Order: sequence, then structure tokens, then C-alpha cells
Amino acid sequence: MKKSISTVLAIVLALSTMTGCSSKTAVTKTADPVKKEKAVITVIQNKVEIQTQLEEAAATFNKSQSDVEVQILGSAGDNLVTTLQSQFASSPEKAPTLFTCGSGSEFEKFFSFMAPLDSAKAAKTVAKGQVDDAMKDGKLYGLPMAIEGFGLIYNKTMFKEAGVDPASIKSADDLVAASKKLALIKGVKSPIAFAKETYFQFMHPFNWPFATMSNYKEAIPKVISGELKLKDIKEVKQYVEDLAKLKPYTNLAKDSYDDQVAGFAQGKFAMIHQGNWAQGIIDDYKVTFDYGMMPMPINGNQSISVGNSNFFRVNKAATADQQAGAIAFIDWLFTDPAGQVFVTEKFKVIPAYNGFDTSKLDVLSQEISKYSKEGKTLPWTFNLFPAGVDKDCSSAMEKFYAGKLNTDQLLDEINTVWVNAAKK
Amino acid sequence: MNKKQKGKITTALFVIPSLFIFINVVIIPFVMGIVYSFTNWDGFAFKGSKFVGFKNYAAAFGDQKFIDAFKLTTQYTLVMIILVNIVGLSLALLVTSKIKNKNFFRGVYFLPNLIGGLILGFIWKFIFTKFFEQFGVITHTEKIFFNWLDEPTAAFWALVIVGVWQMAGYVMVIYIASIESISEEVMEAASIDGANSWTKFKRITLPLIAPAFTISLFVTLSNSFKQYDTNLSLTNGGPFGSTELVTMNIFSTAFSYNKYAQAQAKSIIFFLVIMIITVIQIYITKKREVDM
Repeated sequence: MKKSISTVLAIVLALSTMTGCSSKTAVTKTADPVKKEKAVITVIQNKVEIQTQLEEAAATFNKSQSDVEVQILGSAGDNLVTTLQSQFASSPEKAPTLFTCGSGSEFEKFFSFMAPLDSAKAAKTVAKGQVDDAMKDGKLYGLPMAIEGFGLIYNKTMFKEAGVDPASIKSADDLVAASKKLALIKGVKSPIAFAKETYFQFMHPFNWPFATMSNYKEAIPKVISGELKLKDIKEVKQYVEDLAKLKPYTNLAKDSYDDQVAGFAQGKFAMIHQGNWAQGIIDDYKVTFDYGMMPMPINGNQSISVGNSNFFRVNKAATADQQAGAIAFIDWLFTDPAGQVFVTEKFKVIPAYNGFDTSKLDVLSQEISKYSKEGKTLPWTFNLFPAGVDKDCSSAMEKFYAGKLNTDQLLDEINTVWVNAAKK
Repeated sequence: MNKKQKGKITTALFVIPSLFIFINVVIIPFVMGIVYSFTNWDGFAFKGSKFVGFKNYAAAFGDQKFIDAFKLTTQYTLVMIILVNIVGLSLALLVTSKIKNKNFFRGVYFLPNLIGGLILGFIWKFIFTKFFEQFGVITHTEKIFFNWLDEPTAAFWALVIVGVWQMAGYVMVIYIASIESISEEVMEAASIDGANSWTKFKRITLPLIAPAFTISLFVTLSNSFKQYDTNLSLTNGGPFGSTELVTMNIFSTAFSYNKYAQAQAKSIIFFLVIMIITVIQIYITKKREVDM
């Protein structure tokens, strides 16, 4: 008796595992016919702050036509590369149809999964210079999502109170002099603040020396291959020396991004090294003072760093219908007025395309538009840094801020990280 | 069909489903992992990868950061084994003694184990950075209460504290079960013979709960070696990469530096080390166990 019961139980158990499998196949089967009528395209991107707005845009797009059904997948945030990696490694045809990915090493990594986008309407209206990083062998493999810019966001009201004219700051020494005055203002903890996240602590600040060089495209690969030492590059050496001078007036990059921007909004910091993406947090605090963005005054620099970290890419392994659908969605977003409204007013980003109405942009975006109209922009060079160095280089920066490394040692350590990262 | 055959079928029905799953999720990936570690696999399709011999292993041993991470993990594990078991055993003795509300205390001590390590890390991060700093300023004890995650040694101990806090409850449960199984008669006999409570603990409780030691040591040993989530959410390897444990090193080798095959080689080395150490540990502690 007992035995038979256990046999029955075992069969039930075995069957239950089977049913688990069969029900799954049933689901995919029902999903198939839908696919044939409408091209279902999936989208994944890493900007957490525009996720819900993008979902709204997709819903509007889905209603506007009947050929394509856009599904926005959950935002992967900083893990996007890892997520894409595992999806493309297992089955490229099931990976998202439309995905975002940076330029430089990320572009190289996923290049074999990207379809050319020259046929897209948006490719014709894209702003000058913004797709250079997405070109390969004369073909276009990505369309930028937005342009972004970073520099020193400064508190205009506070500068007036301290009697500092931002236009007069032309060198690191000027910045130090200004910081001395700003530090005296009540409530200011440190005149300049960096955030401690790896991109804000290392990658963005280290864009300045390379971007102000004329031949960074040759210099960076030479450093990686070990032919050239970072400390032998005049601009880099000078930049780190300047940073050492500024160090006593900074927060030593100890605050997280949220705390840094909040600190700026609350008047604890007179300047923060950030980009226009910080607008959202500043708005949350309903600041009463005027603010703007100014260049990092290094190497006589008068420009801010403007670039785009993100390009929309179309999955090469997707079906032809899906690829066409993905391009249609991008075109709608960047060339159709109904889509453009989402870009400027909901995503609140600076469009990388011509033919947009930019009058409704927020304060920081307008500053960046102003600089780019005057031609005072520097490229983003950190995409050329070897993949994955941000964390270890930030560790080196932490040691530098903690006083454990001098300028030469800092450059040596960064140098080692770069060379090791490129070793196969 | 005779009884024997029936029995075999029953066994097979029980074993096959779990064996199927085990082979699929453990054995196959494991074998694949070993194969990957000898190739130049780039993380995408395996097709096109070349066999490179022991190059990845040489690179792993040549990576100073990996060696440092290994040393740190060993230190961490040693400290954890000692502290977790002392705290766990003390808590177990406490809640098996004749105190009031012992079930309530058992629940409370076990609770941290039910919270995921990731969340624990974030909670404690707040305590170590914000709370400690404020507390230090208010009570003028800045020498002890500063931002612990800012200083390498303190950050290491912060990891240990959170780890102990989380794991002690778990080994406590193991010890409780073992202590409660000691028969009253033995204890009573000892009392009649005039043994004080220290002698009873040393001569009766300790030898009789030796099997629990075997399990608890094994659990703490392997869990501490494999620690990742608390490390990630609490220190994320900082300050300046000084608290990077092995698992984190392997993860960043694979997913930030894109050296998948080398990361595989590191995991295999890591696996071998854990295996050898735990086998030795189990062999030694098993020998000390006594039968009733």
C-alpha cells in the first residue's frame, strides 16, 4: 500500500515538472500569430530617468499606426552591458530589437550584432559631428539619443555675493582664487564638489586633459599599448597638478551623486562638476538662486564637454520586419513632431537632431545649447579609455584625494590599470 | 512485476527529475566552465574560440589584484569563522537556558538571516556612514565613530560586523538543535556528581555538539569565502579597492574588463581552493565527533 502511494506521488511529481515545460511552449505558440500581423519590437535602454516617459512615447506610437508594436523592456540602468551580454550570448535573435549602447569599447564589443541605419530618416537630420563615433567603414551603426554636456555647474547668486566674475576664471589659479572667496560664504562646506561614482569621479573629470589635446585619438591608444606614459603627456600632467591645487577646496569626491547635487541645491557647494542630467534633482529642490554652467578652466579651456554616451542600435539578428519597425520608431521619435515633443518636453534632453523646437528646454540644457551654438564644445574622449577601467581608476583617485598618492603616483597607477585592462 | 523491480521504479521516479535538473544546472555548466577556462572565449558564442592552454591560469596568478583579493578573503573567512561561531554558540546557549521569552529571542536573533545580504548592506552602509559620523560629532568620539567605510581597516571590520550579524543567527539554530538533543539525564548525573556549569559545558555540551561544529564551520567557511552581496552593497570594494573580495574580483574581470575566460580560470582556482579547505576541515572535525 505504502509503496503504491509513493509511486503515485512520484509520478505526479514527474508529471508536474513536465507540465511546467509544456505550458511554456503553449504560451510562445499563442504569441507567434500576433507577431506575424504586427512586428513586435522590444526596446531596452539604460536611462532610468526617462523610462516611464519612453513607455508613454511607445504607447502613443503604437496607437498612431498598426504595423509595429513597441514594447519597452525594464530599464537596466548601469547593468545594461551585462544584461545585453548575456542576452546576445544565449540567443541574439531573442535579444532586444532596439537597444542603447555607448561608443568606443562598447561599440566594438556589440558591433557584430548591429545593423546599419543609413536608411533611417533621422540619420539625415542628425546634428553635425554627433554620429562620428557610430560610423564604421562608411556606414552608420547608431543614432544618438540626445546630446549631453558637462562642466562646472555654478551658483550665480553665490558668485555675485563673493564678488567673483565667472567670466574672469581662465585658469586653475583663477579657480583657486575664486574658491578661496567662495569658501568664506556662510553655509559653504566646499567650493567645488565632485561626485564619487566612478564616472563622475574619474571618467568625466579626466575628459578635460585629453579633450583639450589636438591628437588624443593617437595618444590614448599609445598609452594603452604602453608606448607612451600618461605622466609624459604635458596636458595630463598639468591637469593633475591643477587638480592637486584645487584639492583643498573640493569635497574630496566623497559625496554620492544625489548628495552632491542636493548639496549644491542647498548651498553647501558653490560649484559641482556635473552635466545637464543633474537638472532633475536640482528641480526637485525648487532652488531659489540662479545657476549656470561654465567650462573647467584647464589648459586655457573655454569650452564645455558635449557628446552623447548613448546610441540607439538595431539588432542585426532580428527579423527584417522587426528591424524596419525599430527604425520606424526612431524616425517617429526624432523626426515626427508628435515624437519630438516627447524628446524635448518629457525626456527633457537636448536633441541631437536638427529641426527641433529647443525654446522650452530647461536651464542647463539651454546653457549647453548656448555653448554649442558658439562652437565652444569639446568632444567626449573617455569612450576611448579601455573597457572597465572606471572602477580601478576611481580607486586611484580616492587614494589621491586621501593623500596617499602624489600626482606622479596617481598617473602611474592609472597607467598600470589601463595597460593591464588591455592585456588579453 | 516483483517487489524488487517495483522498488527500483519508485526510486527512479524520485531520482530522475532532480537528476535531470542537477545535470542541467550544475554538471553541464561546471564542465563548460572548465572548458572555457582553457580557451580565449570572449563571452559571446563559444564557436570560434581557440584553445590556449594554461594561459588564463598564468594570467590569473600574475594578477596582483586577484592575489590580494584572495589574501583578504582568507583573512575575512578566518575572522568570520571564529566570530560567527562564538557569537552563534553564545546566543544558542543563551536561548536554551532557562530565560523568559526564549522563543521570541530565537526569532529576533534569526531575523537578520532572513533579510537579503544586499539590503543588509545598504542598511548598514547608512549606519556606518551617516549615523556613525553624526554620532561621533554629537558625543565627541570622532576617533571611534567616524565614517568607517572611508578607511581600509575599519571598512574590513564593517564587513565582518555585518557578516557576523547576518550569519550568527543561522549557526545559532544549528547549535540550538544540537544542544536540545543532549539528554537531561547526563546533565543531571553530572550535577549530582558535583560538576559546576563550566565543567558541564566543557566536558558534556562541547563534545556532544561536535557534529554541529562540523556543519557550522562548514557553512561559515564556504559562505564567507563566497561572500559577494554584502561586499557589493556595503563597500563595493572601496575605499580605493581595499575591500575587494575574490568573488567581486572575478565578477569585474568578466563583466567590466571583458576577460571572460580569465574570469573562468579564476573561478576554477577559487573552487579548488574552497573544496580543498572544506574537505580538510570536515575531515578534522569529523574525527572529533563522539557517539552517544
